[in-house]
Amino acid sequence: MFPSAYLAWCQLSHGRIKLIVASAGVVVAVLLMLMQLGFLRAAYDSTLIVPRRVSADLIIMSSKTPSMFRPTSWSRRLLYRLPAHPAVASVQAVYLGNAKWRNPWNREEFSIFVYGLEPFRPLLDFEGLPERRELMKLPDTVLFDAGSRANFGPVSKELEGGRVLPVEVNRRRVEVVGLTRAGVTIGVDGNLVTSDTNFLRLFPERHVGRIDLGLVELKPGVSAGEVAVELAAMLGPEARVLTRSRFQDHELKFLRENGPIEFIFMMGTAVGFFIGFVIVYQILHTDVTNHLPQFATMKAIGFADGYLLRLVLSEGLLLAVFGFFPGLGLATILYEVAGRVTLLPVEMTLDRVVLVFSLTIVMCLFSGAIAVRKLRAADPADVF
Amino acid sequence: MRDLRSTAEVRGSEEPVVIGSGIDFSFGDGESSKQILFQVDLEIRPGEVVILNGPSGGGKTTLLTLIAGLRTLRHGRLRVLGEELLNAAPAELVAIRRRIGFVFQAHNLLEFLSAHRNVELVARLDPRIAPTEARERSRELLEAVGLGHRLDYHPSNLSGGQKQRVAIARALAANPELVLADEPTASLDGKSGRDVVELLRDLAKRRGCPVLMVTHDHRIQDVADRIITMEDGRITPATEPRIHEKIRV
Repeated sequence: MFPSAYLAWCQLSHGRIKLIVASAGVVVAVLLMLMQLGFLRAAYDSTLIVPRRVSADLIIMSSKTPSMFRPTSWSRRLLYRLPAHPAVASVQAVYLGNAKWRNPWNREEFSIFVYGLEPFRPLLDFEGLPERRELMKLPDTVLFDAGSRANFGPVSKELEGGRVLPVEVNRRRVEVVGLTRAGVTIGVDGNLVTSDTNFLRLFPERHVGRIDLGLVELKPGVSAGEVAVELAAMLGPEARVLTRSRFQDHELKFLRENGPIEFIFMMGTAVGFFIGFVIVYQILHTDVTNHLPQFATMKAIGFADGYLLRLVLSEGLLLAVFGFFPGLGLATILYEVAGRVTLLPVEMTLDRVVLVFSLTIVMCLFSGAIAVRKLRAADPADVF
Repeated sequence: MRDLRSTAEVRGSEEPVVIGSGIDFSFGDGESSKQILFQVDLEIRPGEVVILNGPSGGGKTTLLTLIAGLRTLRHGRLRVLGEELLNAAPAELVAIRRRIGFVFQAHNLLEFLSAHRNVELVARLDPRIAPTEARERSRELLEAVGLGHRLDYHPSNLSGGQKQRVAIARALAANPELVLADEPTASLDGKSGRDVVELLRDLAKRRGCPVLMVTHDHRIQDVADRIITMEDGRITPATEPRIHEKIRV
C-alpha cells in the first residue's frame, strides 16, 4: 500500500496556495510560542545574572527580603557573629539601593540600581572590578554597567580610551572610572558598582550598621547545606541563610509569584498554540470536506478507515514540519532584534526548540484528529 | 424459486461468483422505513458480463451496493466470492471490497494524483504485490486502455472518456475477481461511452473476470452476455436472458 504520508504530501502539494497559507498559519503559531517563551526565559535569566555571579558559599538576607532587588536592611552585627563558627572563612557585607542617576547629556533623572561592596576580593564577581579595585578605594568612584539602557546616556562610548566621566548620582558628584557588565532585568534598567564606603556617601540616610546582603565564604570541604542550618540558628528569625542554588530559587520564586510575567507570557504561548490549532483545523477540515467524494471512493475501493485517518494526521504532521522550521528561522532573527531592543538575554535554547516543536506537532495532530471526524460523513455507499 | 446450486452445476464448472436469494432491503427503520428490494434472486457466473437495467428508482444501484459490500444485508442470502454477506462485520466488508473492482458513474479519481499513481494506488492495496510490480502493472493497464501516453497527466488534464478509461484501469489494477460498474457511460457521449464499455468487457473477458454493470444506456446493451431487468425492487420475470456468444480471448 502507498505510505499514507506520501499520499498526504501529494494532497497537500497539489494546492500550492493552500499549502502556503496553512504553513504560514503554523509559522505564526510557532513564532508566537517561541517569542513568548523566549521572553519569559529572558526575564528569568536576566534576574539570575547577578545571583549567578555570587561566589560566596552562603547568602544571608533579612527574612523580610522578598528579592535582592527589593531588600530590607538588617543588622551588620548579626553578620559579624558568624566568623565564630568554625566552618566560616570570611564574611562580607553588601549594600543595595536605588539611586537617581542624572543623564549628563539631557539632565534627566533615571533610577539606577547600586551595589556597594568590599572592593578587594569581593564574593560577588563584577567584570572589570578586580582591575580597578585601587581606583575604587578613592572617594566617589563608580563602575557603570555597560549593559544598562540607553536612557542613562552614551556612557560606555565616553569611557573609551580610559577616560573618566563625572556624573551626578543622588545629587552627589561621582566619577565613572570604568565599565562592568550586569545587564538589565524586568525591574532594573541600569546598574552601578561601587565600594561599600562610597555607597554610604551616595546614600547619606543609610547607616553603616544596616546591610542588605551578607556573603559568607566557608572553609574548604564543609557542606554548605549543613552549615546554613547551623548559621541560621546563630542568627535567629531576623535573617535567612541561603545556599547559592537556594538563593537563585528564591529570586525566581519572587519573579514568578509577584508579577504577572509568567501569566502574560504563558497566555501568549497558549494564544499562539490556539491560533495554530484553529488555522490547521480549518485547512484540514476544508480539505477533508472537499475530498469527501474521493475519500468515500477510497473507502469503497477497500481502504480501511484507519488508512484515511493516518492520511489526514500525516497532513497535519507535514504542516507541522513545514511551519516549524521557517518559524524557527524567523524567531531566531526576531530574538536577535528583541535582544538588541530590550537588552534582555533573549536566546534560543535547545530545550525550547524541542518543546515548541513538540507543541507544534501536538497542535497539528490535535487539529487533524478533530478534522478527521468529518471523514465519517464519507459513506462509501454514496459513491454509486 | 430456482435451485441455484443445480443451475451452477448445469453451467458446468465453478460456483457462481454472486448468488443472491430472497434479498429484501429497506432504508430507514420503523414507520418511516421504505422497502427498496423485494425477494431478489440473482446469480452471476464466472466470466459472465451481466447488465442490470430498468427504470430509475427500481433498486438497481441499491442491489449493486449490497453486492459490493457497501451496505450491510439484513434479510435474505447473498454470497459474493464465496463469502456470506448477511450481517457481515465492517472489516469483512472491507476485505470483500478489496477483491472487487469498481467503476463509478463519476470517475472519482484522486485529482491530486497522476493517472499512473491513481491506478498504482489500487494496485498496491494488495500487500503481496511489490511496489515495482504494481507500478509496472499500472503502466501496462493504462497502455491497454490506450492511455500509455498520458501516464503522468492529472485527471483535470484528461477528457471525460480518458478519465473513465483510467477508472477502468484502476478497477482492474488489483486483480479483481469481480467488476461492478454503475452507469459507466453516464457522463460520456455515445462514441466514447461505447468504447469504454467495450474496453471494460474485453479486458474483463481476457482475465476471466465477471462484470456486473448497471446501466440504462440502450446503445450498450448488446455487450452483455445476459441482461437482468429490475422494476420496483423486483427482478422482472419476463426478462429472458439474452445470451450472446461468449467472447473468449
